[in-house]
This record gives sequence, structure tokens and C-alpha cells, in this order.
Amino acid sequence: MTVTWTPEQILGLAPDASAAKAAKEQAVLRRWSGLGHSAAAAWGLCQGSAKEPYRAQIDLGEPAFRCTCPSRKLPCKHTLGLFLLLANQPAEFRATAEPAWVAEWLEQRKQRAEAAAERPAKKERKEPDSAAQAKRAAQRETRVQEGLADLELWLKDLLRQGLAAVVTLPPRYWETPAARLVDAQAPGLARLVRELPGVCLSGEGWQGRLLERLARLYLLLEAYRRIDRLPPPEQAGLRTLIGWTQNQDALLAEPSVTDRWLVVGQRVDEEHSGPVGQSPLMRVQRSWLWGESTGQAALCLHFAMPGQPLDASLLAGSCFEAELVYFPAAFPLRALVKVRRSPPTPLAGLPGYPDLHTASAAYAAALASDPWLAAFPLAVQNVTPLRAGEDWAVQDLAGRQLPLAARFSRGWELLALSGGRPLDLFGEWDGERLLPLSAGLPCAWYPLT
Amino acid sequence: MPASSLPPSSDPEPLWQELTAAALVGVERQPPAAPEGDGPLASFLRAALVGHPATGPATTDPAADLLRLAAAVSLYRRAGRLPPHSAAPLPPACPPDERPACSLAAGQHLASIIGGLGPSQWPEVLPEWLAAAARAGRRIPEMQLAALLERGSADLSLAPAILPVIGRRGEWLAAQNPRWEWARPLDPAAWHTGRGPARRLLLQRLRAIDPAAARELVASTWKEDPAVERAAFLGALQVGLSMADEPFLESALDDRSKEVRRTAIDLLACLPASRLVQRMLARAESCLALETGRWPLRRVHLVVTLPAACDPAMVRDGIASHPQPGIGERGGWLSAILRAIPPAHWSRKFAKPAAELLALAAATEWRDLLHGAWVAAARCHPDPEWGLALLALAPGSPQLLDILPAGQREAAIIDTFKSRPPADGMALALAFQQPWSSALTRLVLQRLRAWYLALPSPQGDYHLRQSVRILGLYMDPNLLSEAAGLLPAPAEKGSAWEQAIQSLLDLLTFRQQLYKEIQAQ
Repeated sequence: MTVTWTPEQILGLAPDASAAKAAKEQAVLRRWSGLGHSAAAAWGLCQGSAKEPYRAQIDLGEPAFRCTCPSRKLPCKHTLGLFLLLANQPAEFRATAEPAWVAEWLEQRKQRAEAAAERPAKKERKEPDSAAQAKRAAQRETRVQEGLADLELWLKDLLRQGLAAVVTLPPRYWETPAARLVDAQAPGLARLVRELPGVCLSGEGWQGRLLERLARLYLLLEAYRRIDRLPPPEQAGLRTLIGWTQNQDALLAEPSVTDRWLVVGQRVDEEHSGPVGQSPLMRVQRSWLWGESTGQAALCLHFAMPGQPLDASLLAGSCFEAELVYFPAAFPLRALVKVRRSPPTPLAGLPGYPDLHTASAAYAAALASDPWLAAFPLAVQNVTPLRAGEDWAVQDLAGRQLPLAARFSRGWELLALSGGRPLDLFGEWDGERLLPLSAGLPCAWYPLT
Repeated sequence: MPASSLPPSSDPEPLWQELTAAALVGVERQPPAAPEGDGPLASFLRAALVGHPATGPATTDPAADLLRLAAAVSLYRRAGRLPPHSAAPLPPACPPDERPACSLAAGQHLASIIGGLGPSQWPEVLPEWLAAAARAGRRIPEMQLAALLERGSADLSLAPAILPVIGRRGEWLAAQNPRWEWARPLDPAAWHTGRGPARRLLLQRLRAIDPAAARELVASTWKEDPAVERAAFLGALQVGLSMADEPFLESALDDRSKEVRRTAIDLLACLPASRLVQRMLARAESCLALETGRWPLRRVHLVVTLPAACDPAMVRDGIASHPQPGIGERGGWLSAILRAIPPAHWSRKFAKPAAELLALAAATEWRDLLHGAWVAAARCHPDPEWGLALLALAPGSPQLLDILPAGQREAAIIDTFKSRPPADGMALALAFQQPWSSALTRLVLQRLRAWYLALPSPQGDYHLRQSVRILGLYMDPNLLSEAAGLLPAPAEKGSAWEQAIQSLLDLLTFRQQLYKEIQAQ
């Protein structure tokens, strides 16, 4: 196994906190027998509360998990415990040939993967009912137009009253237009509107920030009025912002970008999938990839509802060769992994712009293509972290200083890593503050989430 | 905000301030004004307001106008913003570390101990890991420094174990966070600026390196410090106590605070050459004597004469003038006198071994007084002969373990196992909270097995399980397989005994790996 998973990353795969705790309890040698591993998989027998021991196995490529216990959680505590044992005490696993039950499962997985690769070809043969599709599309278009018109009136109304009155408004004031947008089948816009109350509470300078957000929303509306005059990538980007989803199967047929991709940073957030207080918290995993030769960044998003596991195929701190397909947009960022060409290897350091001036210029160019860019992947080399009062900042060799996000909680770890000397940093830049996701030193990569 | 270095026609800030102000008030009260000036930005904005092929037709709505202007200006600002130059220089970098870092696996062990990940939910394992790393001359990986320093702040008793393994990087890091001032490089100047706990820690650390300097620090602020602090500082002088401290301690006998006087007396009593001990020797001269009985038996017995009076000099030396329960007033004086005198003095004076003197004392009516006083005296002046003799009288009392010199304690426990009923040895072993040798481990394992087999319902016995837990923490982890073999297997699954055995074996495996990884490159 060339890439080592740390115990924290393994526990991050658990569907919830109680599963993680149970996994820790299972990760003791006493319970396991018949531990073994091969190039592709690891397996073991765990003595549980039943008479027969449970058979747990892991396919190390993806990774994928399977266990004979009756639990419905995936990965279950036995497989996670097995994985933890593999990470902590690899010497206990004998390198032998796979037993029959492991080989059988791996074979099944391979067959299923081959079948899935053939399926898009089969699907195309089924003719979609184009008339019904067109009618639904036209209906949606009408609804969206109405929703946008409503939003425009609401925006103008707000500016007429004045933003100073906003502090006295109840939460309903923000929730009503958002709900209307959801009804108008524009969920992306609804999400943007739901973020506005948070901006009002963001502390000093909130007035300017709120005006900026409202102005950008208005810009989106004006742009949509002229959407037919825009080039296709811009059109697709606008539609995605408003809330149209991209057909992922159709996307996979598009031309791909082949490169050696470095998984430079990753973070998992919890977001509400609908109105706050009424909808469950969904976990969103943002994995940032950086192409070694193209120098292009890509963002892979994965979602998980409560109780479901997150996708584990992109391990932060690894790199692999693959074909990626970008979602069409003015500034291409979001992408899907189409085909992986090599197994992952550990990352030794970070790429990046040489200084903050170059990085800012890149950000400006990105903004010119996509004014609604929310998080820009910023990789910069040779910056030194330092404490600025109560907050953190990084300074490049030219002396320019960039403040770090207030929600960044690993400032002391970053400072300890640097020892007052420059290191490389990757994070998400929102125009005001940088949220670091990982740091790179010569021949080493460290996560900061 | 710093003065802008842009020419006025390109600087968006004043325009943005105006727009924000207008938005706050609301366009009903103040419609947006067309921007003036001849820079490219202003021209573009004016065009946007009146209608232009690039920006679309004019809006008829002042609110829409404001939004258009705001969108353009905010984007312009955002795209053109460069991170400002910082005026202050960077703080100095950390000097390179000489100690090698521990291996990656050892670092992961530490992470799991601190974070409660993995099978190591026992908080006692952290001091053991730290001590093993310090012995191996390693420092911890940089990423773990913040977490370990936080642990130290939460529990200052861990500080002496943490300090040797954080390395120069850790000291440099601690210097920048007020919460971690206890880990900063030793700076005697901080004595005058710190608060109570920090000053106490500074004193402890300095005393370990330079006892004289530490004492001088205490003396320098002696008059201004409050009584509670004075007593604590004086107590810290126990480390590295020597005759050089005697004059200062003697002067502390006249202090206003009773607690300070008490601490000074306790410390002086540990220095055989101090004036206090000399005074006590003089007083005790007439108190104990050996007399030979009449013919024909000529039995020797110990004659105890209580002191007649308590003069002010005796009060100054801590001989309280209040009666103590069970002993009486003059008995209390004798007890206080005897506590300060090294027991070896009596062996020399009477030319008899300690065991014999203890037997003679047991024959008198003052048996308890003498025994108690000699135990206290042995604690102040550790003496192998007297320690063993006192322990032999009360073999199962763990409190007597610390009157033995440190190096002898384990040997004494093993002797107790061999010569006394096993319960005594167990009581001592379970109180011996340091890593055990393999010999002691085997004895304890055998005793545990015998104890288990002798109990009517061993599976539910709480004390037995507690002993198993202590066994896991301190026994030699290399004897894991012997332990697994000797301890009886649990009969029912899921019982408390089964969990105890499981935890024991998990803990032993973990500790075994811990040592292996720290030694590894």
C-alpha cells in the first residue's frame, strides 16, 4: 500500500460519531484473526457477539468495504476497525494470497465496474421522449423568469428602503424570497439569498459586504436577461448558478483533460439542504485538485445525507493520473473524475504561484471570466504565517500580507510547522480572507482541516 | 485605512463609500449621483447609467441604477485589490532543533493518546509516552506541539514531563502564546512580572538547574510577597535542598506567617547539619536512654523521659505548646523533637541495629509515639536500614514505601512478597506507580491468579478488576504473553471481568508498541 491513510482520515469515513467511536473500540488486535493483505485488498475475521466471526474486507483501490455483519451502516464498525488496524499496525497483516471469499468479492466488483462502463453506451440507445422534455424545459424556463422578476422587485424594494433598516427585519424577510425562488425552480439562487442574513451578522463592514452581495445578485439577473447573447460557457455557468443541474452522464461524454492530478486540499462542511431548522444537515465534501502540467485547478463535490458515508475515492494528500471532465462554465472549476489511470501516491509538497501579487492577478483574471466566483483555489509558495493581533495572516517574501479566515482553527499548528520560515500554502480565497486547507514543506504535505 | 497609492481617477474607495452610504439611507431619500471625474472607471459608470451597447439600456429606476453602479464598482475593487505591504518586520525564526524527531508511527501514537483516538483511552499513558521519549532523546513532531502544549496548560502537573520533548520549536512556539507561558525558555526576569502559578513553575524549573539562583530569586521579593506565596515558594526549595539554603531557612523561622514557619521547619529538619537539628539533638540528649536491668536477667530496656518545659526557643523551632490527642502535651514535645533527628543517630548512639531499637521501643508505654516519630524522621532522612525495619513492622502499608530511598523500593516490595503473606506484597505493589521490573510483574501476576481462584465469585469482584487495571498500566509490557497465559480466561462473554481482561491485553499491546516505536528510527 503506497498511500497511507491516517487514523483521522479513516475515522472521517464513518457515517456518524457513534460509528466512529464503535470503530475505535473494534480496532484492537484481540478481536481479530486471520488478518491478511494483498496488493488490492485487506481482510480479517472479527469476533463479534454472534457465534461465527464476521468476515470484513476492504478493497484498497477505491476504497470499498464489505462485511458479513447485520449492520446497515456502511462502512460498518468492523471494516473501519480493520482499516484502523491496517493503518496503525500494518505488520500484523500477513501478505498472503487472497482467500476465496475475498477473491470472489473483488471479482464481482470488477465485473460490476465493467458493466457500469458499458451502461452509458446502452442508455444512449433509449430515445428520450423529446416532446415531453421540451415541454418541461419550457415550463421551467417560464417559472424561472417569473421567479427572477420577483427577485428583482424585492431587491429594488430593499434598496429603496435602505439597508440600515435590515437589522430590524425578522428572519422571515429573508426566507420568503428564498422559498419563492425554490418554488420557481431556481434553488441555486435560493441558496444565495439564504446566505444574506449571515452577511448582516458578519461584524464590522457588513454594510459594504451586503451591498456587494445584493449588487452581484442584481448583476446575475441582468445577465440572465441577455443570456442568449452570451457565449455557451457563460450561459452554462449562469444556468448552474441559478440551479439547473448538469446531466452527469452527458458530461462524461465530453472531452476530458488528462493530467497528473494532485489532491491538494479537502474540507467537509455541513450545510442545510433547505430552510434552516426544517431540513436535515447535509455533509458537503470539497476536494480540490491541481493539475501538475496544466496548472489548472479543479473542484470535486460530494454530498452525503445524515447517516450516509461520504465518497472516499479522493484522498487528500495523494496524487494520481486521471481524466477529468469539467462542468461547462466561464471559469472552469467544478469537475468529475472520468477515469483513473494510476493508483494514488503520496504528495510531496505543494505547487503554487510564487508570490501573492501573481496570485492576486490570477484571481482578477478569474473574476473577469466569472464575477460570481465564490471560492478561488489559491496556492502560493514561500509564505510565512504570523500572528496579527488576535488573527492570523501570511506574508510572502515581498512583504505583502494576506489575512486568514476567522474560522481557521489550526493557526498554531501552521505556525509550529513553519517555525517562522516560509512554507507553501493552499486554501480557498473569497476575496477578503484565505481559508488554508493544507501546507507544504519540502518533501512533505500536511492537512490543516 | 491606509492612504491609497492610486491616482484619484482610478481609486474606487471614495466612490464605494458614497455608494454604501446611499444604499444605507435608501434611494427614496437620496438617489444615486452620477460619478464625476475622468478616469476610465467614472466614464464607464456614467455610460452604464445613461445606456450603452456594452452595458445595456438605461434603467428607469434609481434603485436599479444604484445596484448597477455598486456591481461595477465592487467588482473593480475586488479585482484590483492587492494584499498590502506590512509595515512591521517578521518575528525572528526559530533556531534549528538538535534533537531528532521521533518516528512517524510514534508521532501517530502520541496523536492517538492526546486525541483519544485508537485503543488508548487511558490518560495515564501520556506521562509514560513522554518519559519514554525523553529517555530516548527524541522530540515530538511539529504538528503535535499545539495539542500537547494545550494539554499542559490544562494540567500543569504534566509540565515537567512535556518540557523535555518539545524541543526548540516548542519553546519558540510557546513564547508566542500567552496561554503557554509555562513552556517558554527559562527567563528569571519573568519572576517579577508573572503571577502566582507561573512564578511557582518558574521557580521549580530554575531550582532544578541552578538552586542558588532560585533561592536568590525567592529572597529578592521575599518582603513584598503575600504569605500564601511565600509558603509555596519556600516549599519549592525542597528540590535540591542543601546546606547553602540553611541561613535563609533559619531566618524564615521568625516569619510572621505560621505556614511559612512550618514549611521552614519541615525543610530544616531534612538537613542533618542545620542549626535546628543541632538544637533538637541537644534537647533529645536527655530524653532517650538505654538501661540495663538488674541481675540475673540484665535485660536492656529503653527509658523515655519527657521534656520538662517548653521554652520560647523550642516554640520557635516548631514544638507546639498545645496538647496532641492521645499523647498529652509533653509527649507532643518529645514527638516533635524526635521527628527532626535522623534515626541513624540513635543507631550510632546506642550501638544497636534499628530493628532491635524498634523492638525495645515497642516494649515501652510510648510505643506509638516513638514509632510515629521515627516514621516521620525516616521520611525526612531516608535511611535504608531504618526504612526496612519500619516496613517490617507494618508490612502492608503503602504509605511507608516513600520512606525508603527511591532505588530500594522495588526490592523491598519483592522481599515483602517472598517473606510475608501475599496480600501485603500486593498492597505495596499496587501503590508503586512506576514501571515495574519483570520480576515484580511475575510475582504480581501469580498473586492475582491465586486471588482470583480463591474468591467465591471472582467475575464480579471490583477490587480484583481495579488491580487488573493497575497491572496493565505499570507491568512490564514485554510479558504480555505470560500475562495472557496466567490470568484466568473469562467464563461469560460480556462480563465485567472479560472487559477487564480485554482492556488489560489491549493496553499492554499498546504499551509494547509505544516503546518499540519510540526506540525505532
